[in-house]
Amino acid sequence: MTQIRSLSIQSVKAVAKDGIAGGETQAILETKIHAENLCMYYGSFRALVDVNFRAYANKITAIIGPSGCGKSTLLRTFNRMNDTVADTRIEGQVTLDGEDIYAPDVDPVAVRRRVGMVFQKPNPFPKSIYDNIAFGIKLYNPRMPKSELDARVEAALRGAAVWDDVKDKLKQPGTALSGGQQQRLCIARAIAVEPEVILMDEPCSSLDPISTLKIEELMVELKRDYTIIIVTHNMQQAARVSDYTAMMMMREDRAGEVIEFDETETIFTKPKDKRTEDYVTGRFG
Amino acid sequence: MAVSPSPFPQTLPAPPEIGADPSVRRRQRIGAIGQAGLFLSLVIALVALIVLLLDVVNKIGGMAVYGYRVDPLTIVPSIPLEELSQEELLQIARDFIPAERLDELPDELGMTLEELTTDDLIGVIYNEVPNPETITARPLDTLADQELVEVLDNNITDARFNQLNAEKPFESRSREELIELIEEEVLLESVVKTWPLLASLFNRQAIEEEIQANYPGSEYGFHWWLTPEFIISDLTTRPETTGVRTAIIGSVLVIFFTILFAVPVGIAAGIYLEEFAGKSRINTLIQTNIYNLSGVPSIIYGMLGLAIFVRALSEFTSGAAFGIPDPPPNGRTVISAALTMGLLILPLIIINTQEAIRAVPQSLRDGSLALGATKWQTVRHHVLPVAMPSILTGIILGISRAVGETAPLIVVGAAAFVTTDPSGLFSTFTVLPTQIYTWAKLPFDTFRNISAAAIVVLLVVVILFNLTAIIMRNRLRKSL
Amino acid sequence: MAVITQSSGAQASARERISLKKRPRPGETIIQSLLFVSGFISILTTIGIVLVLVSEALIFFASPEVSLIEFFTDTVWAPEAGRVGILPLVTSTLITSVIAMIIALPIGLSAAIFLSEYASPRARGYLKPILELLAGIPTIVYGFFAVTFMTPLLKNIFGADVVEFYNMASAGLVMSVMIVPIVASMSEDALSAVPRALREGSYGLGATRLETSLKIVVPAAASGIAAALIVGISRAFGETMIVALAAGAGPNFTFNPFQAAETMTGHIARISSGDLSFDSLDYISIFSIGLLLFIMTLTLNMISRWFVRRYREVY
Ligand SMILES: Nc1ncnc2c1ncn2[C@@H]1O[C@H](COP(=O)(O)OP(=O)(O)OP(=O)(O)O)[C@@H](O)[C@H]1O
Ligand SMILES: [Mg+2]
Repeated sequence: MTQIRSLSIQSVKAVAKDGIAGGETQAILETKIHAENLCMYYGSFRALVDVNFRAYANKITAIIGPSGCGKSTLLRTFNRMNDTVADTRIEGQVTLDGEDIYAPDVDPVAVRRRVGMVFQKPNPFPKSIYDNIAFGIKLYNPRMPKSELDARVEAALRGAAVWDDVKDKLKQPGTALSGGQQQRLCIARAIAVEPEVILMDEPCSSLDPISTLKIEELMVELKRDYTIIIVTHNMQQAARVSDYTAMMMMREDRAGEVIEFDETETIFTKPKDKRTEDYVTGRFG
Repeated sequence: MAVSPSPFPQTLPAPPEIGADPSVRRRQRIGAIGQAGLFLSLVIALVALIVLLLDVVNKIGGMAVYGYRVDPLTIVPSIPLEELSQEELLQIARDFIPAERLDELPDELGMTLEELTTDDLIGVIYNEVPNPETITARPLDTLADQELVEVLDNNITDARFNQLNAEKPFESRSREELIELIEEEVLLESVVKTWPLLASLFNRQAIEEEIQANYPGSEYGFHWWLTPEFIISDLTTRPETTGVRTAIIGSVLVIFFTILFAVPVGIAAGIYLEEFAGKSRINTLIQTNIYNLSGVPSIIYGMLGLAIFVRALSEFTSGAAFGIPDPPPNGRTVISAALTMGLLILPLIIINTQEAIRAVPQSLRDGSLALGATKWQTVRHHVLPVAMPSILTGIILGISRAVGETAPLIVVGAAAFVTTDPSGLFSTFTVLPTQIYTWAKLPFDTFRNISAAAIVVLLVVVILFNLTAIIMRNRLRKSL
Repeated sequence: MAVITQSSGAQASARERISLKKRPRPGETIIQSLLFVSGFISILTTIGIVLVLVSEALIFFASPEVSLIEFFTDTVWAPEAGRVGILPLVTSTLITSVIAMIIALPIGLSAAIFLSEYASPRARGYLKPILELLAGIPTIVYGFFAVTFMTPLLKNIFGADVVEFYNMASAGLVMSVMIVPIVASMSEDALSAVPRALREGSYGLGATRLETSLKIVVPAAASGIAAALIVGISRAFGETMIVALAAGAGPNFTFNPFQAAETMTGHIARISSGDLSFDSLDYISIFSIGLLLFIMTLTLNMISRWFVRRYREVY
């Protein structure tokens, strides 16, 4: 146990040395998603309290914290997926490029078009691999010619580094792929509709180490074009891929809050909050 | 779990040596008896149902004695008594007048029969002999072809006569054909006594002896009630010639329009409740209401149909409002039946659709919504295709229920005697189950025979439907 | 992790942004309305049933020949003759139903216990569908069975002069045959939903299979079984074809099961299948019977659903 812990700190330091998100880039950082004093309720249960959170454009922001502290809940407020759960509401504000996504005149469907999501368990549609990708594209371009659609499907699959695995079996069901391939298919599905932000809720938690590595590499590729927010329980993963990290914790009343938000390097090397330090070094439950 | 563990300390004093403890042996013996009892229950249930099916099958065929409803001698031409000689008339008088009357007659008349004139003799015969004209009747098989046609002409309606002639001109029919026609049309050849199928198969000898003892000289043989002709024939008043075509067409029509109404509405309501309905008051009300409706006796639906569709909306359900020529006097029509039946199976289809939709994993919906698909797009492209086989299973069960449902249609359609095939929404109709009911109500064996034959037709359809649904559902369960 | 590289943050913002504003989706709105209307039809059905039954019953009770007290106390039902006591119809319904349930409950429940606790999965795989198949047999078939088999059988056993041609016993017995598959199938569902761990816990204490079944599994599935039984009773009350064919062709106030007595449903079926005039007292009277029947079965259903909700086992 101690061995692993020290290993994780070492790798964190290695990342820090590689030099990410240094102060020199701060000037051109553009805020993509911003949550201010966000409270979120499931019925009468307050799951989030006074959350302040920021995701910068073309950065990977990680959300970490113990189980049940509200990471998924927070992530799902960014594309209004919580609307699909009955009896939920929020207080405070979430903005996308400065626009309040919970304003009364905002269409949640439009929000989701711009903020895509990849889930913890790969959830390809029980259709062919091709149709998995084509579905989203056709939502917005119902009359796209076949040749263009083919090209877009291929581009999305290449973009998610899964083209080589599936190019010979596009007509086969997506559910017949391996877990890692399925998850990359789901990423391909998400990028096929060209969102601006991709939310990932523990995308590697059901995958083996090699698949995990592939997805991590992919994320780093993707941030050139997308803003990525990832929930993870894997400290090393957060340290390896993310530029910024938000640390969440549960209060006495089980409401989740963000106790620290900073550059990943800072969170993992010199956290300001004692609880963060305990958590990232594995001293926490 | 709410079960209290309290029974254990009292009933299970953990024995040290299992084999040796007499209380354990006793408990095991009770266990064995109990098991036998439980098994027996299952056997009783299954046996009762097997007996039920056998009872039906037992009546679809069997040994039968044939007879004529009409005495053949009363329809054939006879030789007028006036054309007979005195000798022949005397012979008739001696043969047909009861013996004691023969003794009394000379006293009454004041002279012996031999002393009477021919005319008086004829008068006496007319007075004393029942059905005197049959005495000199000429048996059917002694008649010439032309005479046979005349017999036919005299005993059936002109319309029927012309119809038969049109089917095949009488001149071109053979003697045998003509006699057969007379037997069917005029003499109403009928089954006077029947035996069950099983007895007829395994005990034919005894039955034949019984027939020869009780029905000497009668024709008899093995008679099937469930025949292809039975399925394609018109409804008539005679069990020997009737058929269920009109009822089958009525059933098919009613079910067709029931499906047309109930399936889309049922699926739509199921989708609404599972996917779109929030937790508002009205939605909770709809949901509770559907569960309650599913337990309402079917005859109540019949009363609803009678008061609303048949009576209140008769202007529409009889087709009068749509300019149908010759509309029926009230709304006892196919459309009223279909709407009633539709309302009856709606709760079934809705509840089943809801269960099917609920079984679709949420992750599929999330995946679609996260791409920016609308709710309906998600339902249409991802939820429905996955839920469809299961929804279909429920629909098949619903249809099968509608096929066999009798009470509401008795109330709505009345057990009418309908001999013309229904042709559309505004036709009066009869359906297979009400036909079965009408026949089963009559306390005559032969009507029970055709009732059983119609039941077999109904059961084949219903069981096929249910079997399909059950197999489909079990497949689905396994694949999940 | 050398892959981590820095990139310019300007790219994404250069892309054309899609408006977040609500846009009209007429298709979506229309479809949602249609779906809602479909759901609402069920409410209309209930309103229709209640309205029809209550309004016709009101007309019935408003007519001078009828009084509410007489309705519930008189023992003769002959509307055209001015006697409208519903008792004979109700007692006949109760007697046939009681006969049916006395037999169907123990047999159905025992069969379910055997299927769920004793039968091998293979046997269960065959027997359960057979039960379900039998539960789908149209009731008119059972009615036929009653008149052509059960009544002659009863006459043979108890004597032709004791057992009338129409009699409640025959209808009740056959009704039990009809209800057994329903009770068995629903109870089996409830029993097989009891988790294995509970049974294993009981075996672990040295209980026999029978003890485990009766003292652990059955109580654990009690609410589901109770619901099955109540549904069985409700089915018996509402069953029409068996009683219409076998129980009797006229109201008769008697407690002798071998005598003929028409039930509520049987009476409704007979009256409405005749050539009745919509203005006659006969026609209006059946709605008061229907109303009572509706209230009886509705109450039972609500009790059944209440049972399931109130005592739903949380394993
Ligand atoms: N649909 C829901 N309805 C009610 N409460 C919910 C719902 N989903 C989550 N919660 C509650 O909200 C809190 C936060 O849950 P959430 O799933 O966001 O935690 P998490 O941090 O993602 O946990 P994990 O790491 O285990 O995924 C928990 O207390 C949970 O019980
Ligand atoms: Mg989570």
